[in-house]
Amino acid sequence: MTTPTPSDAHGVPVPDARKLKPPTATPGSVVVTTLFALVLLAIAGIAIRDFIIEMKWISGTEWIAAASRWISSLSWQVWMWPAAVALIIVGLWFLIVSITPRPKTHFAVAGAEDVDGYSPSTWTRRVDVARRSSAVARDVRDVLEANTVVKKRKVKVSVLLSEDSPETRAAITERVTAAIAPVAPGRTVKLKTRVKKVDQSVTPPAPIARPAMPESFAAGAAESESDSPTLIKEQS
Amino acid sequence: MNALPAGLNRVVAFLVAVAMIAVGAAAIAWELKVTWVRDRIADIDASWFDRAPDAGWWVYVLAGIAVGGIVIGFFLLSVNARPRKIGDVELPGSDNSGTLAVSPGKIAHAVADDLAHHRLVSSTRSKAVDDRKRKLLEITVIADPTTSFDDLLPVVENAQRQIRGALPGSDLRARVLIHLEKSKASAQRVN
Repeated sequence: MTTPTPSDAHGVPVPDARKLKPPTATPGSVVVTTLFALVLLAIAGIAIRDFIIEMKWISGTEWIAAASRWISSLSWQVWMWPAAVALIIVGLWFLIVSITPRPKTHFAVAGAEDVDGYSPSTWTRRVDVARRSSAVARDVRDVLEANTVVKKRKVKVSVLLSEDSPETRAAITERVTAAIAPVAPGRTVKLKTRVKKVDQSVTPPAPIARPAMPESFAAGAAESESDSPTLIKEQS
Repeated sequence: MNALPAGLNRVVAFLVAVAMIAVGAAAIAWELKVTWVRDRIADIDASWFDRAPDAGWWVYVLAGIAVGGIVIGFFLLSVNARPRKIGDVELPGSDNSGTLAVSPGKIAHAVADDLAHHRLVSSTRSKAVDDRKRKLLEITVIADPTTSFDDLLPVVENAQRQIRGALPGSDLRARVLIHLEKSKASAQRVN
């Protein structure tokens, strides 16, 4: 297998072309370095203040000199336990941050064109595949809600249905698979369904047909009903 | 971010981490009466810290801390705050008699603006960046989640072809990021 020579749309070779790398997040070490830089600037500010006091341009107590004298008479104190443990924990966290590779934020779209014949040019995020999957699932009949979790190999679609049926399940799986195929063809769609329970207490009772009474019996019943009211018990 | 500033950030973070762990561990070891640590601390002349502020050179130490803190602090901030802009790109037709050049940011903005008017695209963002020594026109296309990838990809590819057609032989490449808007009806998670 030979590596294609980088060239542009007109076949003009691009000598400095390098394979594009996936978009990545800002390295975590940037935060540590920025914090460290701010601490250095704060210390520099204190040093300027102490310098001015040392030159007797203003009066006051020198903080760095006080810190230096405090170190000379340093002895163990109870608060040093949590401080030392915190230093180690934060230090370990910074250490992990300094060696962890920056996270990739996007993956290459499988169905898109390449740049220069060998570099992927179009990228998307897993969350966008999830959003598309949920949108497609919501379009299927009987689907009330849809949520999607996209993993490296699987797309897990959780749906809330008004009525469950094998046809609905098949339709959701089929449509989601087709929808994500252009960008993430290798992923398997896993479907998880729930059916919305209808609250019985709010369901009106089924109407009961009352049999027609003979005319003479009905007249008698009406007469007795006016004397003693009948309690009608609601069917549940 | 390019390799050099990223590497510098990692080195600084590593050194800060090692210093913090060393100070914390030394303090605990001192309290736990670890002989080796106690011997090392005993070697330090503690009274020197008491005498130093009264020495004649103390003012120079303060000046050094101030200058060093400002120089290193602003340098580290500038490394991370520096925009990864790329210079103008030379266009075909440039020769000894003259140079035709265009700002990559303006190309990215023009392409993004064109894409934003497409019916399938909700909005776009664009920037021209130098990412790990790759000169890129990064265009983020934002669309509604009801828009099919099948419909969206040809639109994006057409824009990429326009960029390549406008910059023959250039090492400036397009990187298109497709984002879909968050649906209000549901939330999505990614593991």
